[in-house]
Amino acid sequence: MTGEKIQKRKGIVHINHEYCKRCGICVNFCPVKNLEIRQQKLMELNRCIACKMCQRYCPDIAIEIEEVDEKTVGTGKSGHRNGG
Amino acid sequence: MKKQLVQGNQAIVMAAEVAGLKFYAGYPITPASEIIHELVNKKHIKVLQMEDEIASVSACIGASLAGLKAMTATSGPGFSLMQESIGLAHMMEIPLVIVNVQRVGPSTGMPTLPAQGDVIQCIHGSHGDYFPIVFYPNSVSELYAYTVMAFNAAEESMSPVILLSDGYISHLYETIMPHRDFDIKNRSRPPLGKGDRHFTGLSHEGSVPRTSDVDNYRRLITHLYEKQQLVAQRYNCYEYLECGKDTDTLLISYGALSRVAYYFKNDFALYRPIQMFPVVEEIKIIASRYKRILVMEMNTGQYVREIECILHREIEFIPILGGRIDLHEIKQKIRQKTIERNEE
Amino acid sequence: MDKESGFKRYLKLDLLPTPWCPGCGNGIVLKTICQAFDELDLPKDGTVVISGIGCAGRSAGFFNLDSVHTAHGRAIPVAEGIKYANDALHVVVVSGDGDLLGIGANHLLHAIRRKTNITVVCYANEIYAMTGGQASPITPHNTKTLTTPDGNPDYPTDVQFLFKHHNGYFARTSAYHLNHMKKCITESLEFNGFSFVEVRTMCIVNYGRRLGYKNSNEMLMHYKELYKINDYAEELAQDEIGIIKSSS
Repeated sequence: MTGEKIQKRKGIVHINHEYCKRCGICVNFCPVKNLEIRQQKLMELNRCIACKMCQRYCPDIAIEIEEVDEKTVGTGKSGHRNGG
Repeated sequence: MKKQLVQGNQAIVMAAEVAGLKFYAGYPITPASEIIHELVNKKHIKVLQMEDEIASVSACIGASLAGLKAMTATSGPGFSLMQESIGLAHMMEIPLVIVNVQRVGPSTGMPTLPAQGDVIQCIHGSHGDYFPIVFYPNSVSELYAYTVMAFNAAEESMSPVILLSDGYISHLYETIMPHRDFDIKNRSRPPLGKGDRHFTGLSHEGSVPRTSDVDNYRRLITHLYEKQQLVAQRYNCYEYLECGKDTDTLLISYGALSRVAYYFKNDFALYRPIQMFPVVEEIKIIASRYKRILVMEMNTGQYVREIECILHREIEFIPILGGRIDLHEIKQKIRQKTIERNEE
Repeated sequence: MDKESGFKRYLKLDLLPTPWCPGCGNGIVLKTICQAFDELDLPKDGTVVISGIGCAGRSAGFFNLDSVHTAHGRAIPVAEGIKYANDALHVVVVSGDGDLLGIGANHLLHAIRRKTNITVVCYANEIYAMTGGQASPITPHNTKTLTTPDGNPDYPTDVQFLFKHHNGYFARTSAYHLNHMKKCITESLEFNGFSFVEVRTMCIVNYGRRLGYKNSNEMLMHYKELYKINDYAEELAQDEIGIIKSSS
């Protein structure tokens, strides 16, 4: 991510991998390219802006966005994900 | 209590009211239409004229799920249309009463003329295995009594119960005593809108569909079978008349045709199933007393196969095809059969 | 529960994931129906969902409400029986276009005529998806399906015209237009009379794939480009979504 403007993280993407069918609709709707399917698994890249488009369009109710305070996060660590 | 002269179809309505009918959906068809004509005047019964028999039986399923005692009435062509949903009602365990006033078939046949061609359709009309309780009375007062029985059996078995009639009995006027001293069974299942149950035609375990669990499916069908047998055993209704003089022949008939069979009560012993299905087991004991068994019915041999299956012996069959019941013709056919038998 | 996940109380979450293919739009519709329920705060005791057969028909089992999964095409008459038996219930029918407009079209016609106070949500994916992808009553003209290899020779049914002479609520919306879909379903639930919401939703596996769409995103984007919202119009054009409502 060097050279890029680092965006402050505003949300944590909770992915329920049991429900997720990896259809990729969320990947398409994410305006900041925060979501990716890697090795048959949906991954988050820690730059969620909490627009919740993925949550709204997910047909499998597999995504939930937890809005977070800018001050408390921003380290880019992905320790908050569950279900992974 | 006064005796009343009523028509067969009217008696069905009177009895349904006694049994607690609250919802009726139907489609016009001769010779069953008098039932809806009578019912529309009853203020406390919701009556819907639907667009076809499929919708009629479906609406009854819905009303029954919503907690009301429901009934529909039709004739052969309509009964054929209902078959898919009858299977559904068995799978979802929906109590309701279906009256089938039989007429000559197949297809449009001879409307209003009586026949007994829907006997096997009652138990095998829908796809898959299901085990309905079927009653077939032969007089107006019996129609009155067995309509109540049908409602009770439906509530007890949580399944659609079929009340067979035919063009003769349903259009017959007889005096009946419209008494009300029946033990009326009521619904045990809470009505729809009170929980998170799921009723489905898929093979299921409780509320959860199990579409590929074979063992569960087998358990489900066994449960449905045993339940129906258990309830049917409480009814087990039939009529058996021993002959005044010594005879080796038992004449079996049912419905309208059995009224003519009474003419032979001094020649043969008579047996008449009222509960057509499940077949009453007592017939085994009764039949064992007779060397010769004669079955006559208004079709090319539908119930006779059931009797053969249960008795495992040779049975003589006299078909009286639908449309006309003529004593002279029946006498001649029986005589003919007897001559053939003696020649052998 | 917060505003966004309040709809989950209407779902049996322990039965998820849904049985539908990856990228199927049915889940979006199912979710939006629950959100509309949540918006109106429909009582769980007193709301029933009825469905027919097909992909969409399976959705009834996921509602955390009393639900009925009827025979093919018979969801509407069963729902009518329930409504006439107990007027206090909110009765919602969820099913597909093949079920409601194909095998069950006769019942739809008469429910509109009878003005039965029920809500029908049609998951209109333009195809018989569960059986592999045969042409449905609303498959567009010239579209290739398994049963129309040379293109569909017929023209699709337009349900709005069935309402022409019978007061009722008709809405067409799409799986892309989530807010509009929610608005349509919410309004239809509130409507006193027969209401029908046709939700254009995507089937990628048995339909879109054969038409050249790479994934269901592309189908959603197609809806975005194709449909313009035209609410409370007299009549909707082929490329319009919107609401046609007449007083009940």
